[in-house]
Amino acid sequence: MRVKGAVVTGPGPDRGPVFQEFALFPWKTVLGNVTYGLIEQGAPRKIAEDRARALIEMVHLKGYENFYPKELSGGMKQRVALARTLAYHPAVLLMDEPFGALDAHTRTRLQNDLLNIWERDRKTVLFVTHSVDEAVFLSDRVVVMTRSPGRIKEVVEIDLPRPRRRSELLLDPRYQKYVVEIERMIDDTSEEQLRP
Amino acid sequence: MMSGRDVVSRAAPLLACLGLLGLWEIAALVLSTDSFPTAWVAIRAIPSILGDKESLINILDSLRRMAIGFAVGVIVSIPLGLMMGRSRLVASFFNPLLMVTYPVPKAALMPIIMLWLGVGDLAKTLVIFLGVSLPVIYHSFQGAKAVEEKMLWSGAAMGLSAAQRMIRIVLPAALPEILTGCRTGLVLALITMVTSEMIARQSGAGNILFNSLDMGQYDTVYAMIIIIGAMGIGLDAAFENLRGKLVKWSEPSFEIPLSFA
Repeated sequence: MRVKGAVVTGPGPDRGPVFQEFALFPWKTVLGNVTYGLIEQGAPRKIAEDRARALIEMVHLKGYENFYPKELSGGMKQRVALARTLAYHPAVLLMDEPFGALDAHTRTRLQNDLLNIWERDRKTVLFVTHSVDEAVFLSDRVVVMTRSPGRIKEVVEIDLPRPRRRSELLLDPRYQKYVVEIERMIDDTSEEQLRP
Repeated sequence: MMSGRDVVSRAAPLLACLGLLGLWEIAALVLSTDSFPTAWVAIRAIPSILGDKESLINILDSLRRMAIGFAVGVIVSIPLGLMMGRSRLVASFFNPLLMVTYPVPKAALMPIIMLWLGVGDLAKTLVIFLGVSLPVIYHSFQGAKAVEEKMLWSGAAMGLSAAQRMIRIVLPAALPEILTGCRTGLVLALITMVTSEMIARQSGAGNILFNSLDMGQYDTVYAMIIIIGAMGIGLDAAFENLRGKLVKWSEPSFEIPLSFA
């Protein structure tokens, strides 16, 4: 895999991962987690904190700056993880099923948050998910993978207008068509697997 | 305002101590032998020990050796344990060494160490160091091993080098476990301190204890046991206090304390 022409071999500051299990630093407060990467990269504390506070507000966690991760719910932790990754300006956001462990309601809210953030920053996001709705709702391009080995089965361009509103999209026949089309591809993949 | 339940749970340690002393008193009165003085006789002997300059110097000698042995042990063991927990190579090198030394009573090494280093401070401090090291290495190892891989990836994504990840992520993430090891190490330091002085009699709290045993001064023997026990409780309580502050972020919300802190 290449980012800006350079081959990716391991984690680095130009690619920001967000994991399913949040991977926050439990010994740091919310503010400490979000400023961590910036301070590590040599930003002055004042600037790091200002940016962190803005991001914490953006993910609707204002007032929780001094809470430790163990005091937060799953959805809140994931929003902190998102803010933490956004804080140090990675060129690409790598999100590995970031909303997979959350309840449906929180998941929808975070999807909306992510779209709003994207509208602002326009960063490239590589988003892994098992939810077809989520994939179509969020993406410009959906890459359907085969089960194992994980190869690319098909690439679907999602031609839906932005900014996207969930309430409008769910009623849009184009959205529904994409979902059905991709679900069918995944069904084919699983059937191929089942055949001896 | 403290509720009735709070008052009881606060007073419980004190009541338990008083109960123990009461049982001791009764048992000593029933048995009534010279070698088992009553609790009251033992307690009355404490002020004369603590008031004696010679004894105080002995006890302070003990504490000094214990502090040095503990500090050096912790400083050496934490990095070693953390490296063992993160590197298969380091672990496979040191693991056999630890497995061999773990079950050996450290005081049993005392006669050999005395042959090399004499009966002075160095030999005793070395034994204390050995006693402290193993639990601290073991717990640091466990703590470092359990650090989530994803936390380290996040650190790498923020631009931390391998050495920085060790200090900035592995160390704090493993800190609760490390401090558990240090607490065990602290108590073991006290135990090895007394046993080292039992073997190399020259100075120290253990020296007072065993000399008075030889001379049949049983009230002093029991008074020293109380003093050493109280030192252990005091040190442990102070350490628990510090530990609680350092790892506040990891404490479960419902906690049953196991200390006098």
